[in-house]
Amino acid sequence: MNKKQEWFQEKVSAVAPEVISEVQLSAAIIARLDAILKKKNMTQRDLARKLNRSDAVVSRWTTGFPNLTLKSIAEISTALGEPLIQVTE
Amino acid sequence: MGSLKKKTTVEALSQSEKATLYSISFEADGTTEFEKFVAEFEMNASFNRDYQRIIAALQAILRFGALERFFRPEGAMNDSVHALPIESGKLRLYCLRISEQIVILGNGGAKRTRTYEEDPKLFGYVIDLQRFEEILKEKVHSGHVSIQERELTGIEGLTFEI
Repeated sequence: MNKKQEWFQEKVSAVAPEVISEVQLSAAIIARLDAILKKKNMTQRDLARKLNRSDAVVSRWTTGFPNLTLKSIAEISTALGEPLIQVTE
Repeated sequence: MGSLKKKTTVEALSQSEKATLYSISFEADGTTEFEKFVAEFEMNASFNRDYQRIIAALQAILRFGALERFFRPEGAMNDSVHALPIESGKLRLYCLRISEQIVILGNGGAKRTRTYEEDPKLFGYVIDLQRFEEILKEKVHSGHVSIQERELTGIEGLTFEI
């Protein structure tokens, strides 16, 4: 690891662990959603239609690192026919 | 902006199995645009939450890849300029999303206007990235640099004039 890479790692380490955890969880959900949409050959608009929601709402739910509610996760999972998250026992 | 040419170099900041993060530098001492962004905002209490979320987003990109969904498209239709994050928040970091494996970080700042074009500072950061991308495309075309999965081969040590 060179000096720039060490510096970058220091900056990541300085971020509050709960912020890293929140963004990682969100990213994991969005990455899973992205994979399901690609597998099913569905667009964001197809998902909006299935959810009976506006494109703007579905865009907010499916891009960036959104703070999704359990209700919206459940709605999306139902529309996709596959779970977005799984809680281990 | 003018016609002054900027000598530009590129450095890798981090690499994972999914992605490599680079940043560009216009400085003789090699300080990258992303380092300037960090220096300006890491201790700024007004932007602490936004700053931390941007760094966390970069860490997530290293873990999951630079999915298009993670970014806000900015710049023009035919360029790769994107911004982090998409969600509400006042801080923006501009970058070139070259592929799902390669991101080149630029500088960023507080969004105080409706569009980045209305803010000379932010507009300058986007223009720098757009100009750099044009030169990068030329270098790829001429074979001086190649895009290989997670890496821009041949880019480190090269000096570009933008």
